[in-house]
Amino acid sequence: MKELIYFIKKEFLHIFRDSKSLIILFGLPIIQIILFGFALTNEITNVDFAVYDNSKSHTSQRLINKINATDFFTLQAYITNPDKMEEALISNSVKFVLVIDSDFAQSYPQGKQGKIQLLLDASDPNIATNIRAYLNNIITDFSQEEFPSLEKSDFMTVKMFYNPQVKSAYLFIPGLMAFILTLISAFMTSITLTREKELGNMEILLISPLKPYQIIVGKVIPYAILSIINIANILLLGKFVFGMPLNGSLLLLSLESLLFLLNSLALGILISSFTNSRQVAMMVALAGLLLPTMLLSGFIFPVSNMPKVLQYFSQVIPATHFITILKGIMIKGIGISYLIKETSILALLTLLFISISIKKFNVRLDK
Amino acid sequence: MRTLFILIRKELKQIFRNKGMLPIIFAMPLIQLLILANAANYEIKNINVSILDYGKNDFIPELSSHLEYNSYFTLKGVDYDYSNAIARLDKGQVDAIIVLNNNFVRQFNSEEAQIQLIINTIDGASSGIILSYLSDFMGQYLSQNNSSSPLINMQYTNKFNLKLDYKTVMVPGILVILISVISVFLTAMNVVREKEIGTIDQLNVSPITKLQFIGGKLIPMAVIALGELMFGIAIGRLIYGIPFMGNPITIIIFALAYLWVMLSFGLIISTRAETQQQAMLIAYVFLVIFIMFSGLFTSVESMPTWANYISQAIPVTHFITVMRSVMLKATPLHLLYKELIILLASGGLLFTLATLGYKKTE
Amino acid sequence: MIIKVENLVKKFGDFTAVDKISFQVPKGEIFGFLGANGAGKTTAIKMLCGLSKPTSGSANIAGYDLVSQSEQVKLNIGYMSQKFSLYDDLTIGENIDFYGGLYRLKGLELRQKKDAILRELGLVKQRKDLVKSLPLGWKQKLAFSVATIHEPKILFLDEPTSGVDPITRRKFWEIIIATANQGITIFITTHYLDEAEYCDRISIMVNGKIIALDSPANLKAKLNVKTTAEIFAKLTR
Repeated sequence: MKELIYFIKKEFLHIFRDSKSLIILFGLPIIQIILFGFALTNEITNVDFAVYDNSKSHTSQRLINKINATDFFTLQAYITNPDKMEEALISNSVKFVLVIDSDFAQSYPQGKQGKIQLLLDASDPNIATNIRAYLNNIITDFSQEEFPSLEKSDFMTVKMFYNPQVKSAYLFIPGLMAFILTLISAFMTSITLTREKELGNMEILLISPLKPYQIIVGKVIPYAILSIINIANILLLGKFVFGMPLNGSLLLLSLESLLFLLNSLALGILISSFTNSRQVAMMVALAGLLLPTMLLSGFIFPVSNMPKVLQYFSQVIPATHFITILKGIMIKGIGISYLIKETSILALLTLLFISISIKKFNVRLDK
Repeated sequence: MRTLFILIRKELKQIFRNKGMLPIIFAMPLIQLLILANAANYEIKNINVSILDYGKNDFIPELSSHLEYNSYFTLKGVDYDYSNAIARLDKGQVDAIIVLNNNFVRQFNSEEAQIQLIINTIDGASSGIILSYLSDFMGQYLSQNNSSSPLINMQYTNKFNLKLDYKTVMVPGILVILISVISVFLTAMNVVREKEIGTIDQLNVSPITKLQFIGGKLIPMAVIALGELMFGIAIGRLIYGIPFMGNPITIIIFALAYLWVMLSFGLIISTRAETQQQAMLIAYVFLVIFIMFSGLFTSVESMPTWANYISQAIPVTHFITVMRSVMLKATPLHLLYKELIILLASGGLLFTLATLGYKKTE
Repeated sequence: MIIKVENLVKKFGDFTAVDKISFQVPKGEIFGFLGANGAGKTTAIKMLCGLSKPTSGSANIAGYDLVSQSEQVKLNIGYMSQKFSLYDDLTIGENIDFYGGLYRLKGLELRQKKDAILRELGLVKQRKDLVKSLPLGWKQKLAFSVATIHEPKILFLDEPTSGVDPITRRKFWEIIIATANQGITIFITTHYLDEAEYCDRISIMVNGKIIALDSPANLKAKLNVKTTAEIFAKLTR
């Protein structure tokens, strides 16, 4: 036990000696959370559009003004030649062209339908869908304002559950937390272990009275402590900067976070057990995990939208479960009884990572 | 010229001899491209709904069969009290609940009907879309009993991507990201690695110039990355049928300009870092910022103004725009001059910085 | 005089690593730079190779000015450091080709040079093996041959023998002496005091200054001691 403490002390000295990396390790999560927390949203603003107005009437002008007056859309140009419509889209100068029919102003007040057409740049389907939905609302509003008697009042009310204002922070912050923690922790543990192997220090450590598992524990504990500080930072930022609620139990949140942390560290150990080269370990931990963690975990794209095969695949990504847990505890305020599945999968994955690493490590020792 | 060739040959030999790295450089990006292209999708295929009925409304069977008939919706059940209905939300079983009060039919006929839609916003990226689908559906369902139709009829055409297929858009984007990640990481590690093993001194006492040195590092990576990009586009076309409407030459011109920027950037990091580990961390910081602000996953139009400026300053944004435009819209080179100027200017700047950052003498 | 150094200074912030050193080395000499770790030997040799910019002072190497004609200087010098700067992941032959190419050797000339080196070191059969697989002593000899592939006028050796066993060290010095006999000037730093005996002249550095410069025999006579170790002990006391 005493040796282990000396060993951990030595590891801490290594970490604190490289002050530049240390600043990055602590600063990075904070900067990322703040930067992306504010930048990632799915609400559109200032989408550029052009108008091809065949009606040239007061009514059509009022409609155009109303669309332009919102924060969502900015009128870039009036198009007078229909051949130019496509070019406006191709040259990326606008995202859609609004075409107003010539009899828009005549037919409209007499109870006939006024026609407008929308040419959408669907090369970004996300915006295209959003534009259509937003415009629909604006146009409904418009007809109500113009002819209050003709339009039926709302019969449908909508309640956005859990996140009444549909704040983007609620959607992205839990994902960011899981993403940042996974990569940083896996990166740190995998290089600290491969560095020893690469420099040949592992043999020296192995002939010391330390047992192999003690070596791994000793190497990982300092990073575990660093990561706990990171988790605390991230949770506090989420709460106080982005106004994430904490509707569930703080104790449960802390325990689940620790479990996830353990999982990420185990992932790092797993990576290092497969390679002797720091280069490879770094590339796998950063380049290899980057996109899968971002895209398969439900951080940005909902898991339920994926094909079935990928939905199964997303189940072996630890971040998937941690995001569900975070959202559950913080936003839904649910207890452990609703999260048993996610928690046990995380625990299982952790055990799996550790047992594979130990097996690999022992094989290496026998040689 | 011969010196440059010798440097390039040495780099290529080192890259192809590193058995641990080869799969990471070549196989990993393409496998990820194939898998992840399916994951990046906001398109909703299936919305799970339940009904919360306070009044045992007799038209529930009819509404249910309408829901079942519609390919977007799956009816998970009907509840008669609030707590059961909300438990379905808590468990994540349903995305939305249709709430009907006890006098629904009667009120509806007297134009005071109230329907409430409860939308689960936990998977929030899609909650807006769920809402619009569901309210469209309910609107249509209810207007069977009610003749009013909207006064303004809006028709729309989805240009360039008729079916709003996400893969069509994501394959080029993810490909760009994967290639950027690989090439920036590799160049960021490269020079600092020579520093760590000490071979850099041997190069520095030799009569090679800074330009030869930087060129010798940059060109091999550019060749590999360009090859991967082309291969990725071909795979996207063969497997996912991603269209390629524009001129391949335009893509090659832009790809070279883009790689010039990104590889110079990696070299700047590498010439200034002290250890490989530091270089990787710094490269990682920037790459994640590049990815998040590139407008690939959340569009540039939905970012706040300050983030928009960052997005415009990032080469990835411009290259993704170019890839989409050329592949899907067949945009000709002359309409993309703005992007080309930006890429060339930043390439020139970063390349100069990389060359200056490499110091033959301390 | 093939090396002329005048008032060369290198400062790192407030710390003066090399403090106004001046000396001259004639062609063909083995010139030793002795001193404890941190005395400024490595900083001095790095300046002379163009790896480090002098803060002030001037030097003329092989007839060219160190600062203003650095490219000509580089074509005329060879350098080998304690780190044996070969690429582990390239083969023996590829390393020779690469470094030869950097010094603008090509075609037949390069092939003849390569064959000569491989024959001399007895590595003809192993030329397609990775450098990684060579024992340390062989790596060192190969690095030395590679550093002289372009027949430099001066060869700078920065602690080339550190961390090597005494027998290998002796053999290595035999090669150095043979090279010097071909007319190549050798400039070598070391902290092994016994190696001073192999040098024609030695300079002893303490805290960035040269405190003694003469042949080992003269120094011993002057200080009335028997071994070079004693010279060092007496001077640095």
